[in-house]
Amino acid sequence: MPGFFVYWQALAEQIDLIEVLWVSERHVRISLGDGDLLRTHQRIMRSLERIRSAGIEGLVDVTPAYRTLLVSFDSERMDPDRAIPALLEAVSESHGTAAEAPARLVEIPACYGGEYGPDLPDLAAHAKLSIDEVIRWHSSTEFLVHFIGFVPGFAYMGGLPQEFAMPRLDQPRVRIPAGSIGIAGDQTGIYPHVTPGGWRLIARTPLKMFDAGRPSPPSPPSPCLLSAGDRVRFVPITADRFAELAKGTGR
Amino acid sequence: MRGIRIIEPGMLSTVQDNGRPGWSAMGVPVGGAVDRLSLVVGNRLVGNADHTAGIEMTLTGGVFAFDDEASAAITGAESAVSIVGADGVERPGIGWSRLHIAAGESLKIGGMARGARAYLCIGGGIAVEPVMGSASTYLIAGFGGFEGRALRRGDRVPLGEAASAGGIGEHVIAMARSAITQHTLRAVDGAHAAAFNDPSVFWDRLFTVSNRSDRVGVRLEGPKVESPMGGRMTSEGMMWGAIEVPADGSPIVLMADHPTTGGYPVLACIAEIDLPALGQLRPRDVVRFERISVQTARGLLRERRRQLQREAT
Repeated sequence: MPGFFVYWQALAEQIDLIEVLWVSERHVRISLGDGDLLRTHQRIMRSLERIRSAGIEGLVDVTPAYRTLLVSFDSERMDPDRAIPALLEAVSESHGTAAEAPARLVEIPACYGGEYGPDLPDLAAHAKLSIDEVIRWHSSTEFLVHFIGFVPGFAYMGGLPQEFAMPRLDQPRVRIPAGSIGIAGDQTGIYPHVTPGGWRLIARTPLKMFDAGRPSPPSPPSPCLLSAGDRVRFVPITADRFAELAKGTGR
Repeated sequence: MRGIRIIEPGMLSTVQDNGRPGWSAMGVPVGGAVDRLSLVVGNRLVGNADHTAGIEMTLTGGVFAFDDEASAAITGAESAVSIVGADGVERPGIGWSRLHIAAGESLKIGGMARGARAYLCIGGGIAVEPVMGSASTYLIAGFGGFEGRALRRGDRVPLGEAASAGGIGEHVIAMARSAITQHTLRAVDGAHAAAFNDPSVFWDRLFTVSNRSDRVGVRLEGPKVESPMGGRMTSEGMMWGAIEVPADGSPIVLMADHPTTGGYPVLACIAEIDLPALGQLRPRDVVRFERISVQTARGLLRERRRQLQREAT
């Protein structure tokens, strides 16, 4: 059976359950519990950094998500007895209340409605607002990138006001144009590549969300335009401006 | 530069190596050859480093013309191999062996009888510019490999300079050929195994591989497995080998090009030792999954490594 460690830590007035366990012979899943999502996000970000810099033997990758981190090991180089204690140490160190470095604010130009956002009228009807009001709301909301997942560069963003929360389409679209901005429940996301998808599309950006040819970290710009922890604001643009910017990004 | 020309790419041929681990926080999966064992054996046969880039063919093989003399090996799925001389005369070649191809000759790989993917390894390797640390083609985002896409008729793919003569023990070849054709895949309990009501509907039962399977995932048809949490959970990190169960109860086994995060509960994870066999499953194959412990999975892998290391001098 997989090694199983449960670790309790009192934090502020709440007790969070941290769970660190093997989910294959080469992967460890760290769950930071189901407490407040924003606070959990801060801990995910701190844990990610600590784990990466802890020099844990055989560690090859860490995948952050809303409430979990998946740690992948090279089974040839890892030390199965040391991995979990080392990860627990890194995660518990990340419980401090140290001041956060201010997150980056990234502005994303977005052309709302029409062919760029075919589901905008449905969203307006759902929220009982005019289309202009929805655009005003969406573009004045500050979103938080929880993590990048699914496909390269797909940012899972939270922060959408509850009245806009609308479920996915029943029938996913077969082909979504790259740059499409969609919502699913209270999440907002940008499709970086032409893929199938079921999120409701309200706008499109001319920016290239992911470009493997862009230099890699630590030297910016990175292949990924957004990264976990970024704050994001959408800036409404016209179709003409979209075309102009799209030319610049080679799209 | 030395090179080969694609005469016939078959159903899907891509440049693949050992993949690009380490980028999942950007949504980039590890990718690479889905049957790493066949890639390693092929590379050793032609004297390359273990994870040098080769060409991964799917189900139907392909035809490749050599502009320059080279050594080559076809490993992976069983298929008819032949060498077509400059004069058009065809002579049989042997899979899982080192072939000598003269300038102007072509290598022809037929449809695959057993397994889904054959590998063409060439002395010196496929010399494409690595992207994010790997020569692997990642089709969904269109990068890596040869121009970020599948090979097409008329492409000229560059080759590196051959380093050494190569060679590999017959026992290693025999081990690899039997390992990749297994239809009993060993797996360990997955991240949400404890939440499943009745995992016995899954273990040791027979499933058929759906034809909607690709490098992203293998879909299974068979007994319906009841998924916990209504088949939907908050998205979290996923891995190659994860056996997800969506609400419809038909398991999906994630492969090398899998989404880095997902929202279906994970019942089990294929042990690393059987990932090559997973990569060789073809539509209509019947498979079953054997539950093993994490310790057993590590032990099997250690033994596999010993077999492979014995001759890596």
